[in-house]
Amino acid sequence: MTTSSKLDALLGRVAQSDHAAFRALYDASASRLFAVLISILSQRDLAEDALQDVFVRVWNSADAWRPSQGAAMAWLTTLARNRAIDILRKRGREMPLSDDAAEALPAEGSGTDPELAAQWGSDADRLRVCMDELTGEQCTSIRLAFLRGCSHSEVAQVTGAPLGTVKSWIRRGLAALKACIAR
Amino acid sequence: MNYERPELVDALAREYVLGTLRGRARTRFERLLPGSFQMRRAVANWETRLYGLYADMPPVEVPHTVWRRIQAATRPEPRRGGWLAAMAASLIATLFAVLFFSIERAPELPAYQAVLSDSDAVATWSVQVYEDTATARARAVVTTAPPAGRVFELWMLPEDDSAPVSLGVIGTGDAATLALDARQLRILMTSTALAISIEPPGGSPTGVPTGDVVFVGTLVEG
Repeated sequence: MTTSSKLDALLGRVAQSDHAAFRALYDASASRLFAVLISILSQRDLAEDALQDVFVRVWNSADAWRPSQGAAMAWLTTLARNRAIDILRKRGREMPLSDDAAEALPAEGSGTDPELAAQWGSDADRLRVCMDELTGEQCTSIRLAFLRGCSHSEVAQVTGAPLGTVKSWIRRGLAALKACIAR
Repeated sequence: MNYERPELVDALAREYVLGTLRGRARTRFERLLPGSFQMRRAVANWETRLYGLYADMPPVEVPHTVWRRIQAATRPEPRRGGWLAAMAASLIATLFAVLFFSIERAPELPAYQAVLSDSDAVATWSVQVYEDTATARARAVVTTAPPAGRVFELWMLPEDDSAPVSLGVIGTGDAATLALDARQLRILMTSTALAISIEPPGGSPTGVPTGDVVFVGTLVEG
């Protein structure tokens, strides 16, 4: 059984209030989701609270997940990302992004794990090829927004580019990415 | 703003998944998402494209205290000597529920239902459609399972004999709740039967049944 279908099966059992499956799901995914939360929130204590919120939500609403909507890991990741963005919305960033925020991003293409990407329902190899086709500015602004949870104006602040330019980098970059992945 | 315009839906889904859709625009998008198949599909497509960016990110070990807090919040241990309080709380909850349901609303009744049978006329699945919550609930009457690596998908058969329209993927389990959109509910009004086919994981890639139609049942008003 692949990791992705293992997570799907576990989440299906959590929907039936199986607490042992809930623990196994936590063990299999919490460290990945924690990394997602830390990269957006920048603070471990906030990320710990967010992770707790996410898993309490998983326990209470696992029956809302449908296999037809995508892999279990994608559903969990969406819950985590939305929780983190919600926290940023309510509290604002207490730790302002530094000028080297772009450098603090995980290194590109360093040991991409295809099995791991498959958990999210993605093809990591194809994505890397397509990210490489983008301009440097497009790539950096997409990664800042997606991985660090930066708003358009925060990307503008980090890169020193005007807001309109940043929006255009992101819009054109994502359009190119979509076209490339579809090829 | 017309949320059914495909290019607008795709642009909003793109910014939503990227995380740059913020504030009231994000709240509004999230509120409309459960009711729109087009929006959910656009979001799922962008998630598939972008979530691979996490494949490079090393996991971070979580402190043990986090699981203990989650466990406390999801499985409260019964406190010693607390059974009387628990009984009282349960009694109050029951009374409240009885009052609430008798005053506020009648129990939810299905708008349509169907019992599906196999080719030997053995009942296999029962399906109820609830218009209030826009859901279809499918339950296996007997144990049935799709072949390994395949899933069951639920279809409605329109009365004009046009192509079946999907109600959603049941999966491999013996029960599923499917969220329906306005278009599906509209087509249901003029459908005569429901059917279950065997499909690849994720459901039919073509929008019509691609595998064997194994169970069929007449759709009746609930």
